Amino acid sequence: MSTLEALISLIALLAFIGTMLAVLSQQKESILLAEASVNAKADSFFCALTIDSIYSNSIDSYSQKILCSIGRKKTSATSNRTLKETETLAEAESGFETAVKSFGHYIK
Amino acid sequence: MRGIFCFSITLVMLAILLNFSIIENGFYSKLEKGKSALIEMESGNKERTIIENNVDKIVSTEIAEQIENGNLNSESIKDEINSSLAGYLKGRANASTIFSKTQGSTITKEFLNGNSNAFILELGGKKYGEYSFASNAEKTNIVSKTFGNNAKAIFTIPIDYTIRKLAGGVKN
Repeated sequence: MSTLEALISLIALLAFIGTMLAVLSQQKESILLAEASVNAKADSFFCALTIDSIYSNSIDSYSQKILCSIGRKKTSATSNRTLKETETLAEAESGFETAVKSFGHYIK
Repeated sequence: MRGIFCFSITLVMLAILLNFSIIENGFYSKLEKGKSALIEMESGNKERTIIENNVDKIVSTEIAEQIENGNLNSESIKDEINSSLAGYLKGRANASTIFSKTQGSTITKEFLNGNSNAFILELGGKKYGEYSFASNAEKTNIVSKTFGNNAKAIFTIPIDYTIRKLAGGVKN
């Protein structure tokens, strides 16, 4: 009888562990998805912020790479197949080099 | 058996916490990188704007002063303006060419005199003064200074930069 009880307890414990692992695995996937989403948004937001700052500060050249796809008035970034976009205030063109239209103190 | 179960759960929890910590650090790193880039741009723009505004102010004030003194000698007017301008720009900007904006020698009054024009006209009680940075005959000499490393804000007195000043009201 005690052997049967021990066996039932073991099965219950294993079932509980299995359920926990399944839940954790599902949570991990959700976390990874959320991380990718936040990463993509953060990247596109940072690119947009950089472009707007280049415009508002009339920066002549920026040597850091802008790792986003640049549309006319938006930037988009992908992380783990999740695409996120952010609108920019300034217009930028993506070619061999990214060009941001800006105006200085003296009209150049 | 219970011990192993608790230990496993603790390990899993620690792994999750560590994962969260790594993700958080990644975001902080991105945030700090972004902040430093923005600060560099702001700082470069601030330095450039201060010089631009002061150059405008110095030239404008000097023309007004020459008008007030009744100085109509072009060479003397130019000399006075460029003397003040060279005094301010010394150490702040360089005498350079359009081909090497980032390099150049120290600004001198002679360099500015050789690349600028100034005059004051008097007509019917009204005086009109003008200062131009005309550059040399080939239009290659400029005054410039680059601020920032990754985000470059370049100060230049552009060729054909002109400040005009009118003194004296309309007589009725």
